[in-house]
Amino acid sequence: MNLTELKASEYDKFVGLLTPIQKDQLVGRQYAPNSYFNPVLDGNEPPNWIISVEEIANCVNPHYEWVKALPIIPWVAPAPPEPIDTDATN
Amino acid sequence: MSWAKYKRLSSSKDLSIFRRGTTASDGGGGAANDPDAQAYIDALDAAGYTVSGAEETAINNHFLDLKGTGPNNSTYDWWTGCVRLLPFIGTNAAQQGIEGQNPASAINFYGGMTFSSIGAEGNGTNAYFDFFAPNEIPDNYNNSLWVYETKNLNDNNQILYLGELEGNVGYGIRFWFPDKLEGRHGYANYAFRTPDNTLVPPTTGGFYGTTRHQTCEEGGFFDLYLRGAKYTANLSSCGNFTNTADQVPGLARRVYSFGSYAYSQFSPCAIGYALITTGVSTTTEEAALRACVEAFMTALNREV
Repeated sequence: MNLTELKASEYDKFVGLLTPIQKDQLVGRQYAPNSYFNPVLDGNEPPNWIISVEEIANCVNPHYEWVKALPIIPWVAPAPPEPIDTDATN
Repeated sequence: MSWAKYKRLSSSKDLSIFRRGTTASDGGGGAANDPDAQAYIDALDAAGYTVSGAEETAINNHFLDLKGTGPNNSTYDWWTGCVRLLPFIGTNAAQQGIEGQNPASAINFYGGMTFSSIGAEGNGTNAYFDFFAPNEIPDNYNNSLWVYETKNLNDNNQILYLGELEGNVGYGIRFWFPDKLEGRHGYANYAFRTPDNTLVPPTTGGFYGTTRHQTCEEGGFFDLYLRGAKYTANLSSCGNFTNTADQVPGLARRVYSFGSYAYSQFSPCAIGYALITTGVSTTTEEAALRACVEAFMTALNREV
């Protein structure tokens, strides 16, 4: 699947798959003015580095146009940490 | 706005060329806007956003309201102690990031944020924004943080994080859904939570905020407001939470672990307004501020 096959309403269900090298290339870089890539690990085992479809679709930085060709995979959310229940926890 | 256009505009030194003709002195023939409101409008123009007449009026009225000279407030001054004012107006990050209290500066966004007429919206996957650094707050024991959530939560599993920095030093509030509501100043020692989780969690948007009062030695406490309902908790320990330049995020948690901070858990919520200023000390003052912000949101068609 690629970006052109996605509807905007489906953006939150899919993400762009990165290699570890691609992840390092995007960290700290802007995809649009005042907007930075934020690669995160998904909930697969082993986890994948991913960026959101919004970052891919809205990228106007010519240095990173290659993100528009990233493989699109379903988003698997990582397990959330337990809520903090005591004052001592933190 | 294209990357090339942004680069061109951001290198402009003389923003006066973008100034709108609204005042008698610049040929517009209208009443002069508040100068700080005009500076914010100019910055939006310079970033490529054309402010409508209705938006210009709304912005000007709100800046006057914050100063105690507006149509909705002639009593309180929330401008003098303002650390962060984020109206989130515009259609992209460069526009929505412009800080109202200092339009020459703009916050940054990360991950897949969406920018629209209701403000900045997270995606629940990796999006957040730099809210503020604790060392920007001049008075650690007299300060308030306020936001307007512009989208009703359609899922009880959605969590709204508003200013959360945990594990070392921090400041912020957060609301847990659905089984708990929790506000906090500092980190967990300052957590506010409902007794036995008895409070029904809010599932609609609106005006939320928290105020911290006095030091622990002075019997300090903080208040949490949820669309006008007030809850108070005592501070349980003392500490200085304004000595860090580490950014506190909006719409995410930032947790200190194994020697560094990491961002975890992201909110799919939308924020149409944020304000950090000196402490709002009474329910009457909170009601006045809420009326001003709600009037601003209504004027921008963002009310929920």
